[in-house]
Amino acid sequence: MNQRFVDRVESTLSRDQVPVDSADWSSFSRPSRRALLRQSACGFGYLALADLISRQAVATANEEARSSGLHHPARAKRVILLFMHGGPSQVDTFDYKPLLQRDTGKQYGGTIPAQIDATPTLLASPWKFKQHGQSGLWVSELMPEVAKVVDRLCVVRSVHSRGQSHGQAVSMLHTGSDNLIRPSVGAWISYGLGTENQDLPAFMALSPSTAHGGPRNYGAAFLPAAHQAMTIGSNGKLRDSKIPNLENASGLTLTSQRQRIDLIQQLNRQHLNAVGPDADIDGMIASYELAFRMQTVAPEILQINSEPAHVHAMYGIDKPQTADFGKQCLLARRLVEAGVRFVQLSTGNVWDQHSGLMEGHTKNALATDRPIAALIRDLQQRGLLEDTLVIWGGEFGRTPIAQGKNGRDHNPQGFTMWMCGGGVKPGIAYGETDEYGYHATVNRVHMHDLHATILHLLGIDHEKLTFPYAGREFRLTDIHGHVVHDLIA
Amino acid sequence: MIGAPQLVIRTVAFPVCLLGLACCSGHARADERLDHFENKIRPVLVAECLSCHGDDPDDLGGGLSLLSVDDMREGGDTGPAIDDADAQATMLIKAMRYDGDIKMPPDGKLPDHVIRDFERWLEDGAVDPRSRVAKQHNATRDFAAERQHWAFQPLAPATDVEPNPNASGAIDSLIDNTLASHGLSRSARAAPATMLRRLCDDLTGLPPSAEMLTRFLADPSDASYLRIVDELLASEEFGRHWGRHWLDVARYADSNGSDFNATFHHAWRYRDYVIDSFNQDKPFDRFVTEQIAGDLLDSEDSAERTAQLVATGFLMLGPKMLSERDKAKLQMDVVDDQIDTIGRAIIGLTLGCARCHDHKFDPIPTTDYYALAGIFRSTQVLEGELQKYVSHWVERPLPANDSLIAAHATFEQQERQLTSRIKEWEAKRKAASDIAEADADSIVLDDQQAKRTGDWVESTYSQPYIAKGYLHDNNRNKGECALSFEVELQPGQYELSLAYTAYSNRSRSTPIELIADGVAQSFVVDQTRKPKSLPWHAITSLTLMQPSKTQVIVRNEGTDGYVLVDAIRFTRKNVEVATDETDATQRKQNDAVADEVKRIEAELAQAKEELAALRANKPAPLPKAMAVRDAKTIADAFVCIRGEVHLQGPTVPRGYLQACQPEAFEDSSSAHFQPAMPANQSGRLQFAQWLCDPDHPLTSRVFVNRVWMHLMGEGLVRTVDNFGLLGDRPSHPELLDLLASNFLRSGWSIKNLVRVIVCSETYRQSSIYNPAASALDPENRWMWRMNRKCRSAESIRDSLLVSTHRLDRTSSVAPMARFGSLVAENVANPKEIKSSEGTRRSVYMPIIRGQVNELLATFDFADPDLLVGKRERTNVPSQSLMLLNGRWLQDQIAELTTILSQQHPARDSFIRELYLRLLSRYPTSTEQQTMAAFLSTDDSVNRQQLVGAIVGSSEFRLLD
Repeated sequence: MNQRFVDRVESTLSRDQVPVDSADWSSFSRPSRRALLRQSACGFGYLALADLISRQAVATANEEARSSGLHHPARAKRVILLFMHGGPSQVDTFDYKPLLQRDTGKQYGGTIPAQIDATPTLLASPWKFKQHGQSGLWVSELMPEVAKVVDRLCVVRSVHSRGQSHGQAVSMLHTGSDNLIRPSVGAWISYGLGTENQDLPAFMALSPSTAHGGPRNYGAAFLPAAHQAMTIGSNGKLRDSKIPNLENASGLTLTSQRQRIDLIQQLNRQHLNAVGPDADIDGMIASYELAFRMQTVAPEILQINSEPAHVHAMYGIDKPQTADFGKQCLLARRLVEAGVRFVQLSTGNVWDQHSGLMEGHTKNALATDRPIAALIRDLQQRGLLEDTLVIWGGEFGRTPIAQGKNGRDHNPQGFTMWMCGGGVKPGIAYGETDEYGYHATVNRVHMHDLHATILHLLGIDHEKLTFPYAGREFRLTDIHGHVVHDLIA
Repeated sequence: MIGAPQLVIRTVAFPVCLLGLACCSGHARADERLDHFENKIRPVLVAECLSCHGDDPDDLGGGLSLLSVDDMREGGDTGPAIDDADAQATMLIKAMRYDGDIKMPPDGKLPDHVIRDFERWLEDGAVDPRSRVAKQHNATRDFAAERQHWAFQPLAPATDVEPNPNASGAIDSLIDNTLASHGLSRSARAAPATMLRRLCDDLTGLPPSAEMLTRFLADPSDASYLRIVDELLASEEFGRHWGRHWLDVARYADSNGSDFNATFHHAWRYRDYVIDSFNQDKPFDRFVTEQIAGDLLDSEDSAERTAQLVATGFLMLGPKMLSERDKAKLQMDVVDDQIDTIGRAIIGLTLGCARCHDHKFDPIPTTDYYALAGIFRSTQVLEGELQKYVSHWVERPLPANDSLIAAHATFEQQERQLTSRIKEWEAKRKAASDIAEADADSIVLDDQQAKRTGDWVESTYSQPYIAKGYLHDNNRNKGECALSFEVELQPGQYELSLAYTAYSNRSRSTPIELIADGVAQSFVVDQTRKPKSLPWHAITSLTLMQPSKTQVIVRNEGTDGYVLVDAIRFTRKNVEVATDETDATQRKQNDAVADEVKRIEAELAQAKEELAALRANKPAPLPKAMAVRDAKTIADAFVCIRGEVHLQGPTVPRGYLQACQPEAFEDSSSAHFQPAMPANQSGRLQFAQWLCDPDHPLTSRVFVNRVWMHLMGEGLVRTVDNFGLLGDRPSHPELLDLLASNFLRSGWSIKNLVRVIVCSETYRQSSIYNPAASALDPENRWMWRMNRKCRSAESIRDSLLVSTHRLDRTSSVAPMARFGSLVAENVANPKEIKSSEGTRRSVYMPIIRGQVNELLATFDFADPDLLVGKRERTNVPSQSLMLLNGRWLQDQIAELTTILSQQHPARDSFIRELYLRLLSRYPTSTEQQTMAAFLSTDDSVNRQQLVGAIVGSSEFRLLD
C-alpha cells in the first residue's frame, strides 16, 4: 500500500474529525462533533453555531486556523476569483507573441486539436503590446489600467486545462473535474477553513452564470450543503445585491419580527422540555438567533452605496460601461474585508469571441480593466492584499489561429491566468506557450496544479483535504496536482 | 510484462550505422556507452524524471519506474516505455518529443539535443549500470478473504417458507433481545395523536385528516390502528410519497443540468411510472427488472409495454456532459453513471470505484467493472445532436391508439404536400422577380460592405438572406451600434429598400437615416412585419439631380428588439415617359411580368395560410419516452487503463460481479465467473435477473434497509448506499435478514414490508429522551426509542397547502412542454426560468437541475445531480430566514390566518383549530391559555404572528 493510500484510509477512519484540526472540541460534549458538522453546519460556516455554544473554543480554533493554516502556515487567508467567462484571448492580453504579429495570414504548423472550427491561419493581435512597470511585463493596450499595477501580478502564461467546450472547461476550473459532479473550489475551502465572520457565509458567488453548469460551479456536491456559495445576482449582473430572504417579509418591522422569533423560541423550548434534550431542537433555537443577527449585520456590508463618491469613481461605478463589474469588485472587497473566505465574481459568458473579436474583447476589457485595477489598489492600501489572493482568468484561452476574419476558437491547450497578493511572487511571468501562443510548452501549469497551489497558499495540503463519498476519499485535485512552488514568494 | 532482454542484441547495430552517430565500427565501445549514460542520461533522469518515476516506488506516475532499463522495458500502465526494436517509436522518446497524448516532462519539453542524447543511448543498446530494484506491486489482493464480508454471505436460512404472519412480533423480539442484553428496554408507546401524525407522514407525506384524527383519538385500539394502516397503504398518496423516495435514489430530474441544461420533455412519464408502481405494489424484483431491461421484456398489452419502456428512463436520467466533443469519453461517462447508479441504488456497492483500478476496499476487480461496462456499452443512450457537438439521447415512441397514429400520418402527408407547393411557388416567384429586377437598374450593398460601429453579430440563422448572411445587434448595447453604407449614385430616381427577415422578437422601430445631396432624412422600419417583397422592404424614393455620394445609416438606438440588417438596395426607376412603340412594348412586358408576380404571390399566400391552419390543428403529439435500446453493435468492452477511455487494455467478456456470485466462490481458482451472455442482446435482461435472484445476497437486504430507514429514521445499516467493506455494519444482522427473507417470501411486496414494520411495537414507541439509555447508547442504535425524524421539504410544503384545503393532488402531465430544448440558455443573459409553484403536490413539480425550487432546496431536498439514499439533515440559518421571510411561506401563513379567522372568530376555537391543522393535536390547557393571552394584546396582528410561529416551530418541522 502506498503512503497516499494509507493517508486516505486514516482520514476515512477519522472522518468524524472536524477539518480544523487544532480546535479544542473537548470542552463540550453535546451535540457530538459530527452532529455539529452535519447539522449546525450552515450557509454561514459551520463554526458559527459552534460559536454560540462554545465561543472560546471556536475562537481559539479560528485564530489558529488563520495563523497556521490547516496543514502548514498560510500565506493567504481569503481568495477573490475574477472569472472571465467565455475565455479571454491570451495572445491579445498578456502573452505577447512577436512571431504571431509577423506571420499573420500564414499557416500554423503545430498540432491543432480535433473538433475545433478555426482554420489553421494565424491571426495577429489587433492590439499593440508594451512593456510596463519595473517588471517590464508585456500587457496589450486592451488593459491600460491593469498594466499600471502589473508589478503586483504573477502572470502564469502556461496554464492548460481539460475541455474543448465551455461546459467541461468551466467545470474544470471551478471543480477540478470536467465531467463529474464535484464540490467547487470555494466549497472545499469553506469546508476546510470555515468562515472568519460568523454573521456571513464563508463562500459567496457574485453574479454567477446560470449556464455551463450554473450552480455546480459554486456548489457543494457531496460536501455538506452548508458549503455551497450564497449567491447575489446572476449572469454578470449584481442586480439589487441582496441575500435571499434576508429582508423582513412585508409588514413586519424588526420589532414584530423579534416578537415572532420570541414566540417561536418559546414553542421550541416547550417542545424541548417535553421530549428531553435534542440536538435538532437545540440547533433550531440557535439558528434563529443567528438568523436574526445576520439580518442586522449583513445588509450593512452589502451596502456599497455607503462608500464615498471617489471610491465609486475609482472602481468605475460612475460610468455605465464599468458599473456592473465595478460594483462586483467593490462588493468583493467589502466581503473579504468582513471575513468572507472565498468570493467569486463572474462577467457572465461574454468573452466567447468566435467572431467580432475586435469589438467584443474591446468592450469586455473596458468593462473589467478599471474595476480590477481599482480592486488591487484598494486591497493594497487597506493592507489586505498581502493575505488576499486574487486570481484572474477564463475557463480557457483562445486560438492564435483565426475563426472567420475576426474571431478565435477555444483553447484549453495553453493560456494565461494571473494571481496577485496572497503570497505569490509579484511582477513575474511564469511559463511559456509556443512561439505563436497556442500550446503551453515551458513550465506547464495544469488547472489541477493551480488548484493545488491555491490550497497550498491557504495553508492546506491538497492531498490531505479529503471527504469520504461513494466509497472513497475525494479531494479537489482528484489524483493529480502539484504545487507550483516557483509562483510562491 | 515484456520479456525484453533477449531482444537487446539485435537492436544495437542497425540504426547506429544508419545514422552514423558512432564514430568507429558501428559499435560504441562499452566504456563510451557507459560514459554517455553517466554524462548525458543519468543527470537528466535525476533532474527531470525520477521525482515522479522512481523516488517513491509506492507512488509511481502512470505506474512507470525509470530506475533501471529493465523497469523501462517492463513499462507502466500504458505499456513498455522503451521498445528495443525501434528507438523512434519508443514511448519514452515520443513522450519527450511531445508527440502524442503523453508529454514528458509535463512542465516543458526538454531541448532537442537532450532528446537526441536519449535516442543515441537507446540506439547504443541502452546501457544502464543501475540494477533493478524490485518493483513494488500492491500487496496481492485476497479477494476470497474479502468475500467473507458479511454482506456477501447468503441470507441467514429461515425455517419457514411462508411469510411470517407475526413478523412484526419477530422484529420486536429481536430488538428486545439486543436491548435486554444491554440492560435496556423499549420505550412506552407514543401518545395516539403523536403516533397518528408519525404514521400518516411516514406513509403518505401528509398529515392525518380531521376525520381520521377524531376517529383514532376516540378508538386508539390495535384494530383501529391496523385499519388506518391499510387505508393509508391503499391511498394514492402512498405511491406519491414512497415513489419520491425512489426518485431520490434514481437522481430524477426534468432537465439534464451539467454543461448543457437540456430539457427532459418526457422524464415525467418515468416519475409517474414509479408512483404507479408503488401504488400497485409492483413486486420489487419486477420493478428493478423493468428499470434495467424493460425494453427487452415481453408484454401483454400496450399499457404494459408503455410502462416497461418508460421504466428504462432510470438508466438515462443522470446529468451528462452533452457538449463533450470526445464522444467515446462521453459514452463511457454515461456507462459509468449507469453502473455507479445501479451499484449503489440496488446492491449498495460503490462500483464506480473500480473504473480506474481494482476497488480499494471491496472485492471488485476492474475487470468486473468492465464486464458490466460491456453490457452498458452495448446499450444505446445517446442518439443524434441537439446542436453541433451537443449530443441528444434516445427517445422511443410509445404505443399509441390507431386513430392518433392515423391522424399523424394524414397530418404529415398534408404538411409535406403544402410545403412542396410553397417551395414550387417560391421558385416561380424568384424566377419572375429576377426578370423584373434584371430590367431595373439596381445597386445592392450587402451587410459586409457596411462600416460597423459597436457589436454586431454575424448570423445565418434566419433565411433567406442576400449573399453570406446578415448582421444583428443581439438585442444589446442599445444606442451603441450602427451600420453605415456609402455609395456614389448617378442622377435619377431611386427607390431605397432594406432586406431583412421579420420575426416577433425584432425591433419595432429601427431608425434609418438617408443622407443624399447633403440632406438627411429619417425613417423607421418595423422589423416585426414582413417585408412586402421578400426580402426587400421599400423605405422611400429619392430623386438626384446630380451625381451624389449617398449614405444610409441603420442604428439600434431606442430599439426594443433585434435590429437585423441583411442588405440595402437602390433601385433605379424609369423616369422618362414612354412615347414610342418600343417603350409601349416594353411597358406591356413589364406589366405582364408584374401581373405574373402578383398572381404567384397570391398563390403563395394562400398555400402559406393553409399550412398555418393545418399546423394550428396539429394532432396531439405522439407519446414518447426517454428509453434505452440495445445498441447496433453488441460487444464486450475493453478495460480502460486508469479509466482513460483511449488507453485500451484487455477485453473482458460481459458478466457480473464475482463478489456476489455464490458459484464463483466454490472454485476460487477460476478468475472469472462467466455467465452465458446472448450474442445478439446487451445482456441487461440477464443482469437484471441476476440482480433479482432471490439468492442474491444484496438486493433484498439493501432495499429492506432503505424502507427501515425511511420509517425508523436510521437504517439497520446506516450507510444505506454502501454495504461494502467501508460501509456500516448492521446493528441487528438477524433482523436485517429476517426482514429480507420475509420480503422475498411475500413476493417482494413493498406494502407488506411497510405494514410489518409500522405494526411493530418498535415503530410505535415514543421518541422521548431517556437519560439512562442515552448514556449507554447515545446514537440509539439499539432502538430503545423511536428516532425523532425531520419532515421532508415536500411534507412541509404539502401540509401547509392541506391546511388551507388547497392541495392539488393531480399529476402534472408533460410539465416541461413549454420549454425548448434548453431550460437555460448558455448566453450572458438567459431568460430566467419561472416555474410557477402553484398548489400541486410537490412530487409533481418539475425538477430543473440547477434551479430546484428554493423552499425544497433549503429544506434538504435530494440534490437531483446525485444519488441520494438518505437526505441530509441540516439545521441552518437560511432555513430560519426562509421561515421568517420567505415570500411563499408568508403568503401561506397569511392565507391560513384569514381562513381560520373567518371560520373561527373566537380566540379559543381559532387556537384549537390551528393546532389541529398544523400539529395534528389539541393544544394543552396551558398552551391554550398562553396563546389566548398573546392574542388578547392585539388580536388581528397577533393571529398571523401565532400562525407564523407554529409554522416556524420545531414541532411543526419534526416528527416526534
